[in-house]
Amino acid sequence: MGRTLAHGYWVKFMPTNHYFSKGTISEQLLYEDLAIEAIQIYGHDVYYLPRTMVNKDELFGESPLSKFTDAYMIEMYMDTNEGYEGEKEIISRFGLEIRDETTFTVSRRRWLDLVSSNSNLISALRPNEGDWIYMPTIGRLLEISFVDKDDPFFQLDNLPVYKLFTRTVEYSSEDLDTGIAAIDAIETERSTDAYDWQILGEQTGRATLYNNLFALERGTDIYADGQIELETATAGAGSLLTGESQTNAVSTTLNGGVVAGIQSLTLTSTAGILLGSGADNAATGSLTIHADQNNAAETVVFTWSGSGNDVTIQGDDGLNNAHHTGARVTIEPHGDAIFDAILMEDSDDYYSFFVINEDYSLVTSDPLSDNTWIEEAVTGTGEFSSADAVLDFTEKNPFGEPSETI
Amino acid sequence: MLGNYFYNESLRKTIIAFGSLFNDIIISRKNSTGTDTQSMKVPLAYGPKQKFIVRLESDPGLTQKVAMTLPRMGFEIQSFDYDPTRKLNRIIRQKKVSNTTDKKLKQMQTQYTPVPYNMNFELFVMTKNSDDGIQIIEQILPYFQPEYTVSIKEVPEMDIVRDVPVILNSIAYEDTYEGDFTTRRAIIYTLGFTAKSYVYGPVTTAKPITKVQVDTYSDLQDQAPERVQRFTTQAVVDVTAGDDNFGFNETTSEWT
Repeated sequence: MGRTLAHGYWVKFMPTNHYFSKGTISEQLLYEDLAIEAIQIYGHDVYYLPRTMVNKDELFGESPLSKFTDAYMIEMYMDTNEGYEGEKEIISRFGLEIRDETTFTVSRRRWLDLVSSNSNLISALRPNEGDWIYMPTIGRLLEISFVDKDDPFFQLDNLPVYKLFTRTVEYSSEDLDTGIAAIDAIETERSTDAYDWQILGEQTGRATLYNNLFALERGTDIYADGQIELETATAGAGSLLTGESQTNAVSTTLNGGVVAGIQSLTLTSTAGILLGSGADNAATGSLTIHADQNNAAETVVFTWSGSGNDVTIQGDDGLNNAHHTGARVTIEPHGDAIFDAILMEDSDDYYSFFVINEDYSLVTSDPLSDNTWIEEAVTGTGEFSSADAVLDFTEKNPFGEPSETI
Repeated sequence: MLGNYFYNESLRKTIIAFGSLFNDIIISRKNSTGTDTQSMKVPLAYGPKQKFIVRLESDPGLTQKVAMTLPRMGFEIQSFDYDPTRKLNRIIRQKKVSNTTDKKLKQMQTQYTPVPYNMNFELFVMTKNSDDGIQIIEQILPYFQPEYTVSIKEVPEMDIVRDVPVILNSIAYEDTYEGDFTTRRAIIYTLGFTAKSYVYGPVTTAKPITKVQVDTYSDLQDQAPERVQRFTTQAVVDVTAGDDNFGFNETTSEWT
């Protein structure tokens, strides 16, 4: 045992009293084992979610498109065992904020064994600030704000644990695809990303199955015998199906009420409605609808022959006789089918009915947002359809009389 | 003294109109190829609300797993200031004939000149990422030079539609990126606005005068004065049409 001093001399013995060791390797390992065992006894199973940065912004030093695609279960000890620290639940000008903070202790060795990987960590040598932790027991998603490597401080000349200072995540529509349902549900519930709510049939990259909350518009019912209910025709409009641009009117036999089985639709134009190309020219797409996450799949199939202007629409057998507002929809395009538009019903009513509505409602993911309410108030629609609109969108002579009837 | 109930919702409508300016702001996030991979409408809410409602609506099941969702915007009223520069003659009255379809119920509605008030608002923008923030701000600033005008149906009862300029006064930016690691970083923009609004008084109603009668006396003695002439003017044709384009029947009766 020895070391080289600054002036280059090699000394055989350490300056400190070598009869009193600060820790031998075996003692250090024993200490680490005891720490691990204590954490495994008194700690909790948590999921460690490493952050994957996407298109990092070098200017601002941020990665708004960060995603979390892995979740590693590991035991951690929650230091604040009497509850959270931080400001907890507060009301601010932005609504409800839950500013919970807590500190976790995790074994270095266990973290290296269970989590550390060059492929999924920005720095594989230690827990990373910015990574997330989900603790099922408390049901909170926490972001690591600081990793303290030296607490406790070299008690046996080693550092067996990390302390992870965490606070609740300020969620900004990050992708959560960990495979853990409780974690992935956070994205489903709270993401404000409109593309999360778009049927992938509209997108060119259609290989991915999509599975997300999706609202069937009011008035669209699917019945157990495969019938699809459209709303009663209104004056001047009829219950036609149109493309989302409303330029591709569909002449159809679906004229209100309940329609049975396979229905043939005649499109005035297939442009913008349903496209098929390539060898598999018969374009078929399906929408699988779940009344809730536990119900059996219910499928509505749109089929286009690949030529002409005829498509068919068919509900699945065995559907629940329910009004599936807030249903879950899985889009599964087949072949080369790409839905270029969402079929909707044309209506003169003050709100339009859609078979499938790609417009997501912000209220779903953000109940406190007033966007829709304000929009309806200023335009005199929806809830305010019987009231005066707040804003006047007509063009009038601003210098004339306020009324023509004075 | 003042207790004549009326509520034209002048202030409430101005608040809603102000909010409507910012309820359709969308931000986008692009991947490395420049393709939009996320597009999100920014939630907007009027800030001051009952605490229990905020709590119950935001976290009804006490299962909220995250602190909050960003980006988001909030706005609130800061103050009301009387604006003497827009003061108008206080005795000018707006008039409107109501119930034009029913002659018997026809009335003249009048309302005195509204009082000009500047309503000062603050709009708060909070984002998690700097780029999200400047996307939002950049979509707001070009519309205000420094004002943006909206037409508010201030008193529908009186067909009063008024253009209300909303002036952008200030933009403050706060980014608490310094400090220790456990301190929360918050990116918050605070935009100050003034809406040049008006507050309206009550609408009073009275039937329009369609007949005027003048009696003329030759001598105003104490007992039984002798009338010598009665002049009567009465509107004819259709006064229910609601305008003043009608004729009069004038009748003169004389006693000798």
